[in-house]
Amino acid sequence: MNCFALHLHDSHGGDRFDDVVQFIAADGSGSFGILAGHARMLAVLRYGLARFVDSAGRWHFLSLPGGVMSFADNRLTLATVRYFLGDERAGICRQLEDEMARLDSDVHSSRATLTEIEHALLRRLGEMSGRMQEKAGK
Amino acid sequence: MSDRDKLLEDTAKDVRRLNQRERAPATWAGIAFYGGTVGLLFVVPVVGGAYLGRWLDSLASGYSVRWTVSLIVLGIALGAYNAYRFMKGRQ
Repeated sequence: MNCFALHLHDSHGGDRFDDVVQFIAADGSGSFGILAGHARMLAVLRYGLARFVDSAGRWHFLSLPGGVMSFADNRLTLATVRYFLGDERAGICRQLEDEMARLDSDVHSSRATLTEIEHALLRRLGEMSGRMQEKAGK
Repeated sequence: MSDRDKLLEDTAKDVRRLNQRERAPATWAGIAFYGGTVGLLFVVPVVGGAYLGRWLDSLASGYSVRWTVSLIVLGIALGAYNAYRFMKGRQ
């Protein structure tokens, strides 16, 4: 079976699949599919779902907020801000919500930590300025 | 609408569309096209084998149907394998 490589890149890292048989996505003009040996092409994908099947016949689903896809030398490269990969079509929306909630939680805890650091810094600065004033008074 | 809501909504829309497409009943044109393809894949090697066998038999001296029968049987086997591969690939 003819296969091609798929490289996924986003702001959090990436994934690589070496045995992709077919990739289906959609751009502004509609849905399209890519098979191994396709001519060079470049497409700007729209928001939504893309999917691909590997040589074992397993479908994988990608939810992405648009992105740039290029195919050359039997390699498909997809660059996007953030993608969510899942093996179940029915569960990908729930998975997406869970992942977003987890990201929110991470951002919230990072902000809380940052606020704590700022407070500690201000406290320390206050202590230091108090000591300097004491020294100047003596 | 935020980017996040748009991503969720568009993904859900695409999932719904895929589900609908799978549940949609097969059209007559689709059935005819599928059946025609399977039929052609099966029949072409059989007919090809028959013609080739008949020509080879005509080269032999006297009455002979050995090549015709052999190549028809081979064509049936090849056609069945072709049709099986096509149907398996479509699943």
